[in-house]
Amino acid sequence: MKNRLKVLRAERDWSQADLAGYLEVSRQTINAIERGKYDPSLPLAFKIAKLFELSIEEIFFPDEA
Amino acid sequence: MMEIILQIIKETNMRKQRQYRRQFAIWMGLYAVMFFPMIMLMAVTEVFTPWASSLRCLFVLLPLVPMFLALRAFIRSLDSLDELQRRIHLEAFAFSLSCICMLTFSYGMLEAFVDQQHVSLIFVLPMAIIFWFVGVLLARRRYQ
Repeated sequence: MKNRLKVLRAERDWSQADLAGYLEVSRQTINAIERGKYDPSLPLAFKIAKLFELSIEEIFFPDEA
Repeated sequence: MMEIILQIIKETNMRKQRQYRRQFAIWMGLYAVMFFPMIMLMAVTEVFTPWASSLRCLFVLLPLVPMFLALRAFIRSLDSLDELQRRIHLEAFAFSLSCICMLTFSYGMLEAFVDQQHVSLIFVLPMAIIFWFVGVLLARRRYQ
C-alpha cells in the first residue's frame, strides 16, 4: 500500500518525531509507514486521517493506483 | 497548543518506559544477588536428611521469584509499545521459539538415539534470550 504521508507531513513542516508524537507511536513506525514497509492498522489509519483532516482514501491507496 | 500536548504525551511515554526499565533492573539485580550465593551454598553443603533436601530445593528455587517479577515487568512494558514495535517483538518471539524448538528437539533426538552427552535445561532460557535478541535485530531491519 502506498501513501502521501511524507508529503502531508512536509506541507505542515513536521518532522517524523513530531508526527510520531501526535500519533503516540515511535519515529520508526512513521518511517516504516512512509517508506511503504509497514501498513498501519485501521485505528492508526483513522487517527492519521483525523490528524490531517482527510479521509483514509486521500492518504492511503493501493499499489496499482 | 499541539506542541504542549505533544510534550505531555512524550513525557508520559518516557516516564512509563523509565519506570518499567527501573523495575526490570531492580528485579534482575535481586536475582543476581540471590543466584550466586545460592550456587556457592549448594556447592559447600551436602544433603543428609529429607528435610535438608527440601530446604535445598527451596533455596535453589528462591531466585526464581525476582526472575518472575522481572519477566512480569518486561511483559507489562510491551503494553507501552506501539503496533509496529509489538509486531517486531512478535516476530522475534516466533523466531526464538522456532530456533529453540528445532535445537532442543534435534539435540533430544541425538541424545536419545546417538548417545550424545546430556545438556542441562538451564541453558534453554539464555539461548531463548539470545535468539529473541537476534530476532529483534532481523525484524527491525525488515521495517527500516
